[in-house]
Amino acid sequence: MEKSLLFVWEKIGAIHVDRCQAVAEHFKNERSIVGIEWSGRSARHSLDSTPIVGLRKVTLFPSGYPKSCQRLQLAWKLVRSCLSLGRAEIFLSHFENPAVWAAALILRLFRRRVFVMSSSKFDDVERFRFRELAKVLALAPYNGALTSGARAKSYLRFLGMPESKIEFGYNTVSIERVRRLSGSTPAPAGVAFHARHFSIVARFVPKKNLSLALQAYRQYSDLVRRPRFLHIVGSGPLESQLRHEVAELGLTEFVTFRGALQIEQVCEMFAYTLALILPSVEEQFGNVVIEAQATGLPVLISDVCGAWDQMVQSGVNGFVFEPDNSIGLAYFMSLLSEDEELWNRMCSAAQEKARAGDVGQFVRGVQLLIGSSSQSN
Amino acid sequence: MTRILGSSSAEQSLGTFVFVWENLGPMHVDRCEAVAERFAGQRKVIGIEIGGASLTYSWAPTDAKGFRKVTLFPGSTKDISRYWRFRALWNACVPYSGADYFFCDYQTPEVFLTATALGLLGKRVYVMNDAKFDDKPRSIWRELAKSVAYWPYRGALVSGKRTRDYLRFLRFTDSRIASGYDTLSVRRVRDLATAAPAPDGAHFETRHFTAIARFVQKKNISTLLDGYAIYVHSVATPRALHLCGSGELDAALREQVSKLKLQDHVVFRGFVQAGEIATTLANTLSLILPSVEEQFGLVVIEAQAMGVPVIFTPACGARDQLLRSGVNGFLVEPDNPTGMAFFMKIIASDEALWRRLACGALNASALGDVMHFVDSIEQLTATPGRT
Repeated sequence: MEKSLLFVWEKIGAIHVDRCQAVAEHFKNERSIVGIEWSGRSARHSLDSTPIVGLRKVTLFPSGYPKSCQRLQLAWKLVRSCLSLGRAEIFLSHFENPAVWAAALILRLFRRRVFVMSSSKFDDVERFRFRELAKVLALAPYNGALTSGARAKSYLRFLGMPESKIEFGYNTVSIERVRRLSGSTPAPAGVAFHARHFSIVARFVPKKNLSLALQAYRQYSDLVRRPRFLHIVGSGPLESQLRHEVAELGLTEFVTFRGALQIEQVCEMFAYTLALILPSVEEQFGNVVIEAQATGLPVLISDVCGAWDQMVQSGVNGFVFEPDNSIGLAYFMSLLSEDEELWNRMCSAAQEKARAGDVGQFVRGVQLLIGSSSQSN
Repeated sequence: MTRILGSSSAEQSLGTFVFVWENLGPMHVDRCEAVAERFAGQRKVIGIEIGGASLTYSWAPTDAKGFRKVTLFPGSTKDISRYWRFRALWNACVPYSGADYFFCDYQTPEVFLTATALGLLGKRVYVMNDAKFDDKPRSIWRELAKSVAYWPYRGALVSGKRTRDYLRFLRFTDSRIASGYDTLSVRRVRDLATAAPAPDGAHFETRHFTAIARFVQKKNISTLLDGYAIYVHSVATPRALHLCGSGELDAALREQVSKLKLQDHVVFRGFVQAGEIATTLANTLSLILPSVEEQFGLVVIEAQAMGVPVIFTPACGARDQLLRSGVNGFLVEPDNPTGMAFFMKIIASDEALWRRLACGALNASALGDVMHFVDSIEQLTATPGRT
């Protein structure tokens, strides 16, 4: 009987489909790939679940993850679903969730090999000794970890995961898909430099720090003769507040709220974008950085974003700033906005760097983990 | 041989501040003097150095004004056993009643034992620290052990946000942590420089790049040289790079300079004392701090005192409160020589930008002044609560 590779996420979106399909492509006749999602709806994102063409997908709660759902129920469904798929190696996200911990433990008892997928960093939130100690237990059942970036790796090692069992490649997307969806050749080709605008893609919640970006945009528009437009994609509880701030800052003519777009529309927008801005005060990774780089865009990124570690080099393919530093962000916006030669160079570097965020890296990470795990077992 | 100066009865009766460092360098003297000045007539200040010579730095001995300096062992403590260090430290600390004790190097056995014993006697003991979680690989078990080592302390004097976060994780509540540890006298630096801070003073065109760091691996001078080489080859008239420091990598760095054909551009200045640092900074365009590990980086304060922008890496603890990219310097990754070269080039070629960054540095310099150390001492010792 052929062995399966199971990937479990809270909800399977386009980027997860990318990863499953890339693994399926790589393992073709050796392994069957199954994507398992808790529910068709994410607790955080409003986007719908994405079908996996040609691959099997299992939804544990097809009609939505009930609020009243007990952890035991989720653990039970996870275990039953994974065991029903025969001999398998299982990759799980949300290791800190007690239901996932229980499921991982039981699956290990049934001699399944389980791996954790995580991009958490120590500096994401305030940490407490005893909670971290509990996480050591939560990580104990796993045979290895798939992660992204130096800080996430350092955090897993801190929690007791041996360095030899940690591989990179978790946060990745299909560069080829993003480029196809953008309907244009990556920058610096495509739409002319002067016709491009700045873009932000983020939920309208406090940790995305959009108010700072608006202040920076105001300062930028004072620095240059003809400011470029700012397009903001997203929705969320802060929407009316942000619209109010735009009006207060006198930016109504310059800032466009595009609403919550599907990935296809975001990629199309990137074809008209000069640079992506990601000003978060808390951001485990920021997958949108890879999507922007796939279309050749430089990124202006705050230093808390996990994507900085492996995707952005300041002065090479973007700029890094502190999330309380609107003046610095405004200056970097003006640099990119006014200097076409610099922008061209950064676009080429962004395209080059995008490869580090391609799903090929996910496949490589999975391959190394299941290989090294079978050796150590 | 142990040399412990006796304490007068007047000092013992007053509430005394006792500060303990491995060795008193110029910045420690700044701090003790500033505390002594603020509490003149109310409290005495004792600055204890375990060794008369630092195990790490080649500081020239500094005179103490307004406070009493106690040297437990003249010269280096390299060959002194931990037991004798502990005995000397204990004997030096114990005579003071009603004192507040501030210890650096909590991890050394002599400090841990002294702090623990003082804590058990009900004395008020505080730790001074600038370590961050991201300084090095951490293990939760080791960190839990550290949280025990912090047990004797009722509060912590720290440097920036990351140190605060780290010590909160290890032991202390927010209210028992005060910022302001890594500070020095901005006035002293300016007096030593005998020149006006940038953007005044030396002309833009005549200024050079400067790195002030020990020549050890974690200071990452080798990557800086790679970045500098890219910069040199990208401009017509490159500015010189002055390297102030010494250490085990001296020969390797000189060889790298030769290989990169930078002999005409790089100046090795050797280890320089505080006065020469100040005069060098008075002629500096930008300080470069390329470290892969840097608890704080006090030289940032010295640079800002002289209005000098800083090209810095994320490891640098000073960036938490003193540096903002595009405002008073530029943030660059320690493995990114191309980025270093880019920022060197734009600072060196755009006088208006340099002037703006210099003003930003000057504006931030007050944040690194020793007055914040005094404020924090006052804040911590004013409230007697435990953690």
